[in-house]
Amino acid sequence: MATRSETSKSFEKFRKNLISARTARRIGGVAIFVIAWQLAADAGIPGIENVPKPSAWIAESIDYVQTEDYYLSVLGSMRRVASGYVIAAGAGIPLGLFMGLKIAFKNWTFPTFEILRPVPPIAWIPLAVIMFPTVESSVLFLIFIGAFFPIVINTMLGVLTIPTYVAHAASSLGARGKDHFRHVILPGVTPAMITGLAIGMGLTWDMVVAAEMVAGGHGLGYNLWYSYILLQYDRVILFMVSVGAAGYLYSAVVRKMGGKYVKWRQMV
Amino acid sequence: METDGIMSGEEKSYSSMSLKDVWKVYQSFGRTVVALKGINFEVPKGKLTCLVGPSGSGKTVIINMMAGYETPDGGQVLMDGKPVGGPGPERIVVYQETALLPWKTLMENTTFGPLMQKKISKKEAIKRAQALIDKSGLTGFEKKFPYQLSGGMQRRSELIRALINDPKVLLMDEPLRGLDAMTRQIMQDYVIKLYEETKTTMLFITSDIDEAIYLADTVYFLTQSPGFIKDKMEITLPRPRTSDVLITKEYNEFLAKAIDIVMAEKEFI
Repeated sequence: MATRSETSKSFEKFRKNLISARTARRIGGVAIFVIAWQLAADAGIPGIENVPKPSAWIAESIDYVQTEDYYLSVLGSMRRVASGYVIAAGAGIPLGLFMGLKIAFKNWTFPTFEILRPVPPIAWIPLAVIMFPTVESSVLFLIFIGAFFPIVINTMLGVLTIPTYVAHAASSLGARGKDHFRHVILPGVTPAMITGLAIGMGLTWDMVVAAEMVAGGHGLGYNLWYSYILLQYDRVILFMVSVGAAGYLYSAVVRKMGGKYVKWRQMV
Repeated sequence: METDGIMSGEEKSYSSMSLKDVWKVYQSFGRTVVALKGINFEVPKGKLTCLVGPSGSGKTVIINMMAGYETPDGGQVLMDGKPVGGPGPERIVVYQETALLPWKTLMENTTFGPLMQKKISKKEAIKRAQALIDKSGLTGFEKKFPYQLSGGMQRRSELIRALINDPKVLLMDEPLRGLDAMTRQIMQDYVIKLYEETKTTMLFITSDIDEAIYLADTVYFLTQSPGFIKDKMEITLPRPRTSDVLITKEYNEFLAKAIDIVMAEKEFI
C-alpha cells in the first residue's frame, strides 16, 4: 500500500511539474521569442531580414542534427569545456582558499593575480598557441583561463566574508585546525565559491567558441565559423543555438550541484 | 520555557576573572587611539556581573580579550589569578549578533562544542543537547537552520550551545540587543533563571542601565573613548529575582543613582 501511494504521489508530482504554470511560462517565453523573430523576419525589418528565419533554419537543420558530424562537434566542445573547467576548479579553489586564509601567501600572489585578471581571456589566444604543442591543449588552456580567475577571486572573497564572531565562537567551542577548516571555513566559503563556479562556467563557453574559431580543428565554434565562410547561414544559427543550449545545460548542472550545499541559506 | 535543572544537579566548579590595569591601543590612519585606559574590574566566582557602557567604550574589546581572541597591550587578564591563554570552552562568549553556525542545524550547533572537544561520544552529546533543547522550549526545532528560528530562539540556542560545554565563565556581549521589547523581557528572565539555577560566573555587557540593574550582583560603569571604569555599584536586590522587583523603591533608587553616574560623565563630554 505504502509503495502504491508513494508511486501515485510521485506521479501526481510529475504531472503537476509537467504542466505547472512555471513550466508553461518558461516554454511560452521561448516560443514568443521565436515567433517574434519569425514575424520580424517576414516583415523585413532591416538587419533582421538578412538573418535566417526560424522556419527556414529549423527545416534545414532537421537532417543535419542527425549526422555524425554534428554530434561529434557538440560532443567535442562539451568535452573540452568539461575538462578545462574541472582543471580550473581543481586549481582555482585551493588557490583561492590559500589566498583567503594565509595573508603572507596573499601578499606574495595577489598583485600578480590582479594584474593578470583584467586581461580578457581572449587576449590569451596568441600565447596559448605559442605555449602549447597541440591545438587540443591550447584550447583547454584557454577554457581554463576563462574559468580560473572568477573561481579564484570568489573563493578568496568567500573566506573573507565569514563573520569574525562566527569563526571566534567556533574556536571557543574547540574547533581547531582541520576541524575548523571543515566545519567553519569550507561551508562558509561555499556560497561565494558556487558564485565563482557559475561565473566561470559561463566564461568557458565564451572561450571554447573563441578558441575553436581561431585554432579549433573541430567543435561548435570551429563549425560556426566554417559555416559562415561557406555562407551556410542556417548552420551558423544552428551552431549558435547549440552553444546556447549546451551552455544552459552546463550552468544548470553547476547550479543544481551548488544548490545542494547551500540549503542552509535563506532563499529570498 | 523552563530552565529547571539545566545543569542536572551535578556539582560544577566555576572560576573568577579579573582585569588588572588593562590597556588597549589601536593604530588608526597613522594615529594612535587609546581604546582602554587602565581597566580594573572583577568578575567574582558564581556572581552575575554587568558592565554598562555607551557604544565606543571598548566593551567588545574587553570581551575579546577575556575570551582570548585579542591580547592586552598593557596589564593582565586573569582567570583564577592566572593569565588567560587562547580561546577555549571554559570561557564562552554569547554575542549580540547570532554566532550560531548558519550551515548547521540547531542540534548540530548544540552538539558542536562537545564533538569538537571530543570529550564525550556523539550519542551522549545528542542526549545532553536534547535535554537542553527541551528545557529551553526549542523542542521540534532540532533540524531547523538558524535562519529559520526567531530572534529569541536564536539567543536561547546560543545560550544552550554555550552551556552544554559547562563553561567556567559565560561572557555575554549585549546578547539581548536588537530583540523586541517583549522578547527582551522574557529573555532577561531567562538569563536570571539560568544564572540563579546554575550559579555560573557570568559577565553580561549591555548599554541598557535598567537591564544591568535588573540582572546584576555588581554593575561596573564604563566611560566612552578612552574606556575606563568610572564607578561600580553593588545591587543588593533580593534573589531569586523576578520582574516584581522592577516596581520596588529599591530598584528605582538604584536606577536613579545609576543615571546620576552616567549623566555625570555627560557633563565633561
